[in-house]
Amino acid sequence: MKLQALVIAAIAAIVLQVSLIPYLALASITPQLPLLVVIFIGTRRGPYIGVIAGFFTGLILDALSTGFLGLSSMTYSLVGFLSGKIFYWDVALPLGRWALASVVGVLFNTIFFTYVYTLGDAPPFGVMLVRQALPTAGYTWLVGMLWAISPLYERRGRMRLEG
Amino acid sequence: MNLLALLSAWRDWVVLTLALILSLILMNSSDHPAAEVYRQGMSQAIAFISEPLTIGPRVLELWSENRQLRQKVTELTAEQDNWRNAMLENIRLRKLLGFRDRPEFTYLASEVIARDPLLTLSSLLLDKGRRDSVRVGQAVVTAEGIAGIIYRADRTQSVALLATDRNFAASVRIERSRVDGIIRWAGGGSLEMTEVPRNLDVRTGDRVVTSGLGGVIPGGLPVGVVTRVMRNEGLFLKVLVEPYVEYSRLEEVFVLLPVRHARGPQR
Repeated sequence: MKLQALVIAAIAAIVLQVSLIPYLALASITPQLPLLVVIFIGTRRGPYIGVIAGFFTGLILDALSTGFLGLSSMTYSLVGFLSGKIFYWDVALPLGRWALASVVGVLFNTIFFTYVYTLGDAPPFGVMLVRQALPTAGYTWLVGMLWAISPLYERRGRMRLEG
Repeated sequence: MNLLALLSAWRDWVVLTLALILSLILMNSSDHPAAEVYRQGMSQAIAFISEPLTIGPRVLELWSENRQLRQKVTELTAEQDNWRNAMLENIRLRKLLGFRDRPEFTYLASEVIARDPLLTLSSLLLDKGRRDSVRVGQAVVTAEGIAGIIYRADRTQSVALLATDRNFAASVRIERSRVDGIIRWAGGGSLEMTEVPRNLDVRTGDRVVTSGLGGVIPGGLPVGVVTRVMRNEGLFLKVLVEPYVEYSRLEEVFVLLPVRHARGPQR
């Protein structure tokens, strides 16, 4: 997938996240499409592009939220990096690699973001994690897996890395 | 090995370090005026693209809502006569007792053009701003009850902080027993009523309404229903409240404008 297509995918994911994704909410829990796109970019183009994609996607998300500017860009950069690195691991099937990268990326984002978000404030980390973050992570991962087994997902045995 | 070759060999780690440093700098300067300009510009750009996408689902929801509302109007019209009589009696009695009049508000209808994209659904981008007399701190309500308050007001748009944000707090009251407390988010879609002394009368099923204390949010707006009362160790009760408003489905809200603001929009 070309770099331009990845940029468009990231922007499209953000637009969908603020417009149509809320209609998929189950008990106030929505899947995080931009996160899946960052993980996908990390797995397809490696940690270098993954970090850049994560940083800019997170930066746009931060602007649309009432939270700290820079919190999502930090989390998403780390997710882009991790998913890129994990894709190197020796897992036989492309789908298995995606499953592993996405579960690590989604869980990392959930725990890291929740920890920073709840620093010194109510509700406490544990409550927020159980009631909001982990259900969101589960839902996001499920959507990611549904997409990965759909015909839309580009299956490859080997990662294409730059450089 | 020269520096460029070294950086190239470690480029994944170098770019990650740079991203983390930049993020930390941004977090440290979240309140800078330039950050506000960036937020406003980005909100407007994304709202411009995302708004047309919501037309389809919105029309479907409005169609279904319209049917329900027609039925409700019929029921409420009958009920209205009783309330009107009670209100007139209330005004007469308040005058007799010399009570001060409550501040009056008008309802400014506003459409939701984008929602918080992060882990928690804690804010909405609304299509009304300062030119429509929207100001920071004004209450945002729906037909079901209180939704939040205005957190940021730009010229043509504003951001509403929902009750499901950790920074939200409002003064509330148990309607039946008139016990006061503070409502806060408790994680997920639940709210928690805090600062309620453990000897006071709060029961499961009690209706929670805004108390009007503080003067920002008018009193009597429905908040939710008490789902659990926990008498833990300590001085205060732990009261869980299920909100009436379904925050993930908000499409239109009303901003409560004090009457002095609502007289004429500012250009």
